[in-house]
Amino acid sequence: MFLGRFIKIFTSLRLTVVLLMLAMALVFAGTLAEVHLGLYRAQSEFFRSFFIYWQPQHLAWKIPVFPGGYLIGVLLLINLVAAHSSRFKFSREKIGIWMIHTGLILLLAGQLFTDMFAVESRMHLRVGETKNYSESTRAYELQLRPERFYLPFSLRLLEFKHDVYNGTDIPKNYSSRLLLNRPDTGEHREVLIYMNNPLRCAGWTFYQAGFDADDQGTILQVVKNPGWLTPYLACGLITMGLIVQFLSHLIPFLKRRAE
Amino acid sequence: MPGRRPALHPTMKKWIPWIFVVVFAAWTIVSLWQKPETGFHMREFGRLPVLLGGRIQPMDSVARSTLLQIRARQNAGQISATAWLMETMMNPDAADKLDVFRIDNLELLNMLRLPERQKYYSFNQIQPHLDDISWQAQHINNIEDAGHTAFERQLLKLANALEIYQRLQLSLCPPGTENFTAQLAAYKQAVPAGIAAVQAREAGKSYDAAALNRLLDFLAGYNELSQSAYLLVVPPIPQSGTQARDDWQNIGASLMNIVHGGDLQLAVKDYAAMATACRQNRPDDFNQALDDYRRWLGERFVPETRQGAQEFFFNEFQPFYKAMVIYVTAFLLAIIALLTFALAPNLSETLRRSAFWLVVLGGVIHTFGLLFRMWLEGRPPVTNLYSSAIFIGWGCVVLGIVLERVFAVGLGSAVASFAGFVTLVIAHNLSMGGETMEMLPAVLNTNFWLTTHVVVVTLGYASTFMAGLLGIAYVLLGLFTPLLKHKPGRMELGEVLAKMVYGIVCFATLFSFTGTVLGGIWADQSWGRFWGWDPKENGALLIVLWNAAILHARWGGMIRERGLMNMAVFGNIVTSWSWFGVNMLGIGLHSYGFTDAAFKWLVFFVVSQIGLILLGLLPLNLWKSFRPENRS
Repeated sequence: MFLGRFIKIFTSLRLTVVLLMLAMALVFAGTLAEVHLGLYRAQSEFFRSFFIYWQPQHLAWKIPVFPGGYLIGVLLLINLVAAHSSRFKFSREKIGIWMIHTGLILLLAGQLFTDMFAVESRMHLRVGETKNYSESTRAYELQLRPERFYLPFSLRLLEFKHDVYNGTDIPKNYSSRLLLNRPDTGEHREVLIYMNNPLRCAGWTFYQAGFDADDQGTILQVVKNPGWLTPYLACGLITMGLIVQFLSHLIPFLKRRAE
Repeated sequence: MPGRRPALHPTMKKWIPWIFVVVFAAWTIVSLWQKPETGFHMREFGRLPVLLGGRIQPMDSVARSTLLQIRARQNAGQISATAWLMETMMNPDAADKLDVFRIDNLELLNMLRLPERQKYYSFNQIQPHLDDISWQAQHINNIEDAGHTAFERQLLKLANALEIYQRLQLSLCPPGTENFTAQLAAYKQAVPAGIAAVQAREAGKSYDAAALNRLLDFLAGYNELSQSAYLLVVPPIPQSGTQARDDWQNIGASLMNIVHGGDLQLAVKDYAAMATACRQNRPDDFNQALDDYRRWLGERFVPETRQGAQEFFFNEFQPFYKAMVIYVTAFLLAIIALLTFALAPNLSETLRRSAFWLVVLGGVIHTFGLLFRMWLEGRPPVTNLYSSAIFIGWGCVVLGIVLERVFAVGLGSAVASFAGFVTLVIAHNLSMGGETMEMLPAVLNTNFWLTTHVVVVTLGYASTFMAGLLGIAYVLLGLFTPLLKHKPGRMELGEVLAKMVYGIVCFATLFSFTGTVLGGIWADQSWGRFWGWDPKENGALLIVLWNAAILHARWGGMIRERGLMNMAVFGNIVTSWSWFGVNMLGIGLHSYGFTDAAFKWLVFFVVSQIGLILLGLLPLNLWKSFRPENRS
């Protein structure tokens, strides 16, 4: 009896709508929180958590006041899977919806995977400097130096260019010319990294992120993300599903109008 | 049929829409016909290309954008922007008397001891307080930005306007020059003697001190020009093959070059002649120098000359202003068509068709303006906040035209023209910063992503707004008129609206989702992460979630017609947060800073939408359309 009721709630569209609205409230509150908490802390407290806690002034314990990103995500996932297995029969009319929802599951799962396994770091090079490691951007209270991620290759900055439009400060181009040296494959070549054009090597990707004020040093964003493919697959699937669903309603509608 | 009136004469009924279209089309085009200029050929001067803000633009654009920042208008009262620019650059003493500085803030007026209510003030009136203003501005910039007061913002704006003005005055002639042409001749003569004196002095021999000092006097003036000029008017020297096309110089720098062995550039000579002629009020000499320069430019700088002429045409044509006027008229006609639907069906139908064709005309002009901007910039349609407003308006108009073709009841035209009008007003307000075609920073150096992500997500915004506008129409028509129950065809108007909104929400879901995803892919390609919880990303996500919530709520039977409309109106709040609200937080990748006026309007808009939703929540038996006696 109770189980039946329980299942009914978890397969209901009502729960979906409630969860979507809770998600909206969370995203909105999280965005506002970013202003004074900073991006990283607001993300961990609001989105990468199961609950948002409120800590009263003089007490040690925290009270959960709102579901966090992970909890809403998990509930949406359960809702989705439950609704599909209990109500949706796989049929031609529903193929669009299946694609959309499967894609969504893949997206959420993939983003969770990325959260857990992706590594983001920075590499700062002065002209002429060579490094074979990148450094963590997280600042901890007690550290001698930032955590290092060693790479199977080294990069040396040959030249950094910062062009502006004549007579303005507006940047036209940032680019770093580097020498890539990879012992295990014998690669030894020049590479150019600039805006919207990263370097991909050995599972690591290097993006032009910043530079030193005197234009003699570059800062590269270094990312290793084994789950990088999931958003592409997921979103491709969802978009195709949306198009299929949209067209499967639009075309009969237009045919009826023509009659 | 109730309320029968004599039908309009059939021929008139057929031709009235076309009369509207022809009249407005004629109005649009007639402004292009200009009488040939007597006196100074200011329009030709306005077409001359210069480099400002890193892009080639005509003098006319410089004049309009600087005057917008100084006077909040594209003209200087009785005289055109270009005429004002000429005065300012070539005849500074006369220009100082013109009332061009717009000051509204009372505290600031009191500080400057200026009379209130004059609205526009001259440089001469402000001049005694220049040091004070610059000290205040520096002081304000140094304090932590916790949000400036109105006085501080106005003072900074005035300081900026004054800087632009003074730099314009140093863009062509050194200060206090009566006859620039004569001065240049004297300078050219003084250079060899001066250089000889410098070399002699460095070699320790005796030198001509007078010659040296004469040269240094000239150089002091030109150095000031080279440091402070606002525009770069001297084209790059054509013969050096490796010269970049955008390597323009200002007059001061070009003149200083003569000391290092450079020539006196023809551009400098001709601009000097124009300045002298303008100062001495000799239009024929001015026009002669102008024609000489134009001929020289036309032979060597074809793309730049073309750019100057085309952008001059665009500035004059003012397509968005014209479209705005046409949209307002179309909206009025559409509203009257809707309201007279039951009382005077023939009149209503004529007005409906007139409104529709006017919306199409407005849409054509709107499209023309959009495409012309793309042509001038060499970029996809949306590159900054201003162009996003233009494009959202365009998207709404196109959607509305499609809706009107499918459901010919006047609603499509009404919301299309309303949306077109409002977005163009928003765009106009966004243009007050002066430049709307600024060069894009390096991170946006990708036309591919600008075309895909930005266009798709902006269409998502546009369609969510359209759904919201239709929701507002439902609430207002339902509460205050019996029209929702009327049957323009087989279906009741209320049902028609429901179908429209449902269709548009589906469309909005598709486009906002795909647009957001494309943004994620761009971010992944550029920065290494698909999703970063940036405020703008979050805003886009909110729109997707809300559209999805509407669809799921409807499929689950949680809402019916009225609920759908109310949720659609709430979509307006979500979209305005995503479009404007997130820019004002001061953090993230799309932070444009907090503007007082924008915030006030955003709050006003949100409150108005909440008000409409509350109206929409009133019990249905209070709605005029749903009262028993109105069931037809």
